[in-house]
Amino acid sequence: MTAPPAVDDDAGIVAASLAEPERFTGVYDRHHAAVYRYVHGRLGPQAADDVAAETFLTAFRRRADFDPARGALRAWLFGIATRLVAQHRRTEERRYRALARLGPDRPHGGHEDRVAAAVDAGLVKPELAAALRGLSAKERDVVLLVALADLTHEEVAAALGIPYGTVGSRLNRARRKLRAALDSPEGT
Amino acid sequence: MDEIDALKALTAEPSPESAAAGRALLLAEARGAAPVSARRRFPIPKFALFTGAGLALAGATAAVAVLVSSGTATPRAPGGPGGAPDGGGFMQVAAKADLLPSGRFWHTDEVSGTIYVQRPASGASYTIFGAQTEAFHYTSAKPDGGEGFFSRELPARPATPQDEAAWKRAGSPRSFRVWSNDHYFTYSATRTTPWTDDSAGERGGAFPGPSGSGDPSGGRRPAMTAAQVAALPTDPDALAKIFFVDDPKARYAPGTGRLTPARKLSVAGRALKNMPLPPKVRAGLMRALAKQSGIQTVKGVADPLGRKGVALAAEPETITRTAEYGAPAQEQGTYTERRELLFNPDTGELLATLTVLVRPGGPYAALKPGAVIDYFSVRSSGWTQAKPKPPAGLPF
Repeated sequence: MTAPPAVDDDAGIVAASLAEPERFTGVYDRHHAAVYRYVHGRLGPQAADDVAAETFLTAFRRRADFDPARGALRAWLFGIATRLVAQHRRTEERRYRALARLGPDRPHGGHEDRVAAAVDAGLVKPELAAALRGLSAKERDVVLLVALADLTHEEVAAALGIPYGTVGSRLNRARRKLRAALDSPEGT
Repeated sequence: MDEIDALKALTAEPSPESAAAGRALLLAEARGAAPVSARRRFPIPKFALFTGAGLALAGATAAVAVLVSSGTATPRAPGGPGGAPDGGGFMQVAAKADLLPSGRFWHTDEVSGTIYVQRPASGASYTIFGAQTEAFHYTSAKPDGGEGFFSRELPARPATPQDEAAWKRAGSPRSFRVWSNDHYFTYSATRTTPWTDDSAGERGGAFPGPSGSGDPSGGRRPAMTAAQVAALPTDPDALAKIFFVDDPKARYAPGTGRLTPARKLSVAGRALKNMPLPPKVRAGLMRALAKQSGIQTVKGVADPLGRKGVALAAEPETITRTAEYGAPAQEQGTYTERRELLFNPDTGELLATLTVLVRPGGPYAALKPGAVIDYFSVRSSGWTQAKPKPPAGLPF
């Protein structure tokens, strides 16, 4: 990290990067792994490399827009990442579909899908992946920001630009659907 | 295990290679970037429109507030009024240009027109914009990606709401006879042609280079590849040495070969429109132009499409039209104009190249200072990933 000790918080690094653009690498060093984990969870390994990197390029180009008064940098970054993920709906859909098909009796998808899904084989229950496909995009955004990125309700609200109360209702709805899938006899 | 924990199994850590590659991308971008200011709305001063309620006729406002209207060229300090380090606010605009994205195709969609004075046998004279044309051009970044030229004619129309009122009093004529290019010509108030595809199978990937001479014929504009364009420096002073070069052989300024501020403005405007300059080169060229003597910042300017912004203006030039080429008496005389480049203050994009009347006279004796006498308005411009197409909708 190149950031001197005087500037060691997120907002300070972003502010410093306005005049000294290279300082923005401090943001990358702090948050890339977390953003990557989230994007990998949604899009799989192939797209995650590009989309995680693109998240930071986008954030860098818009760094003058970052307003610490409207929420933490973390939430802002995950908001950007979520919008980029939304541009890869088909990839996400394919990933969950492939994961849902894994299992002894299930037909496999195409070769590409199998390779992508094999990474996670045995880790995620097919029923859970199938249930993720059954969520609305809005429900998925909320529940995966909580589950994959460990965002608080406040951070999710800031990331997605939705009211705090809406986070709770979408999360509850999503969790109910997912729990039902996990509790099904097939999934035990 | 609850459902939230179960979902965590979807994640994975980035490989060191992936993390390093992403960081290198960011660092490369950051190293090429110029400093920016924290986002705030660029202050556009309230100003009095010469034409009054200009928005009544949608898009037809030819309103320009001239903050510096003196026809006597008083060169300001380089960079703008007072020689302020930020170019009188313009540097903020240039910084926004740093943030524009890149892509696979560069395109420019441009609407142009020229003002003509109509003098009915009875009743007040009024002005129209005629010779209105929309031109759409794209070029691929790579040699095999293609290039396209499209154009269509747009109807003539009254220049301002006041002109529209006078035109109605004159019986709303559907055609306008004008003196244009040394002969009379008639423009229609209703005629719009379909897009004409003039693409002639160009492979793309070649762009006009810097034109040091500013020669309108374009004779001295060797083509550059996208790679050569991308390799242009970002430093304003280095760009000035490439773009604003005096040419001893030039014909436009007899005896001097010196690039006037208006010529420099044209050179920069053409490059900003037609060359696929990387964002930082664009911003550098804007800064380079702002630093030239005889160029100043003007706020509160609008183009005939009604878009407001911040302009760089060249010191005025005085034009005299004589009878040499057969101009009728009312088209003869002397007036003072100046060239302006109008920028969107929020994005740094070029909005228009304008010629603005500074001191009325000759054919424009009845007009007010600030009237746009010809314009090239960029309707849209920039990089796209997909191959661009000319728009179906009309600009007005």
